[in-house]
Amino acid sequence: MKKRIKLKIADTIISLESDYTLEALTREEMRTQSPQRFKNFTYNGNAKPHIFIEVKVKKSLPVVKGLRNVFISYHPQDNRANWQLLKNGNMFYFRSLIKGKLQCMKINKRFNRVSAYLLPKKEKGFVWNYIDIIYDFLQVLLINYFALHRQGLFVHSIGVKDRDESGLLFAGKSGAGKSTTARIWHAHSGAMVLNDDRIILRKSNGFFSIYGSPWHGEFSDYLISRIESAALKKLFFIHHAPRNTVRPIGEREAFHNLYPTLFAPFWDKGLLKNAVAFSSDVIKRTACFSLGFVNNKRVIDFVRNI
Amino acid sequence: MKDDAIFSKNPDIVTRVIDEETILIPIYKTSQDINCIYTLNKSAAAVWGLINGRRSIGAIKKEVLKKFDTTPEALQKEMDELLKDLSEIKALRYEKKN
Repeated sequence: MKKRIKLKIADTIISLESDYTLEALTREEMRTQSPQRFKNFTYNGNAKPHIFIEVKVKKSLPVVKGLRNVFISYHPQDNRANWQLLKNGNMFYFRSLIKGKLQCMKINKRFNRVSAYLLPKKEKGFVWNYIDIIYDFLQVLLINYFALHRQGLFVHSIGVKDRDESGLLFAGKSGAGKSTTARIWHAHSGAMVLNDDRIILRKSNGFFSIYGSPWHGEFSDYLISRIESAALKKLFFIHHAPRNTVRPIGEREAFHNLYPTLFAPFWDKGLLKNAVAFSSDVIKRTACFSLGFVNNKRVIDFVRNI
Repeated sequence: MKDDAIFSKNPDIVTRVIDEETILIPIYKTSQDINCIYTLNKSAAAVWGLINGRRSIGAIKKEVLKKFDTTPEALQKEMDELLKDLSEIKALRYEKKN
């Protein structure tokens, strides 16, 4: 009998199905892999999935001839290859290159049907775990899927759903103060921090919303809130400063600030064009600010008074 | 750059105009390459818009001189720098002489 798990991430339902047994995690694995973090994203409703992933556990990964390299992602700290995207005709192939987590995914051109090939696990054999699919593959798949369908973007940012339900997005590159901002808002604001590292920005009926995602940063005290979303009201590009300062910025400056914070499909012209158009639309319709902040709770009222 | 030279654009570049500023965004093959986007001023954007793999630099100059208040000498200097810069970032490819 097939095992089926459904996930709902940013209103996108993903079905994972397999003939193979789901892995039972040991207590130590539960501690290190934090599966409860992802459980918030499991979906038990009856809506039709947008994306179907069939998981197969095989002795060896499929060898496909004639593949053309599309993109290789390297780990920013140790420069080791993380994953690779390849293409053959209309089909994309994703390969995880991490030792101990080798996998290969065959993806159709609409990015909504996937055959996922995993290797057996040491001592456990032919079992699978949806956490293996979420990191890193599902993120890459959704980046492509949202770009193709012009529906969304991943932004390196913190999303906050404030007490009045409005969505505040604090974007910035590493070191800009995202984790600090998440800690301040989580501890002192009474608002809900959706995620401290990767927020999904989507457009629906002409309005933009921010969504929590399973891909977190350093801060993880708000697991329960990550499935939430909020209508985007203000977009801040943050940096540390000796005092709290804010400056409204125009479209040009906003784009130059936003683009480096995107997890965009940098590998494909058509998809990148869609992602850039989406970004341009966001900054055109959203109040954007440059925000310098001091590491204390006074920034909360400062932001709310803008 | 001589007037009979012809350039074509690298097809792997996304062009977007945001608030009257033309931005060139290259696609990348590895995460280590992702670093830059490039902006063009108005006259540079006009030159970029006229490059098509068939039109000569001389023909482009004539078109740009009609639209902008500049001298042929000043435009020549600006275009030489622009073509050099765009070639360096592989946004342009030298095709041939007319």
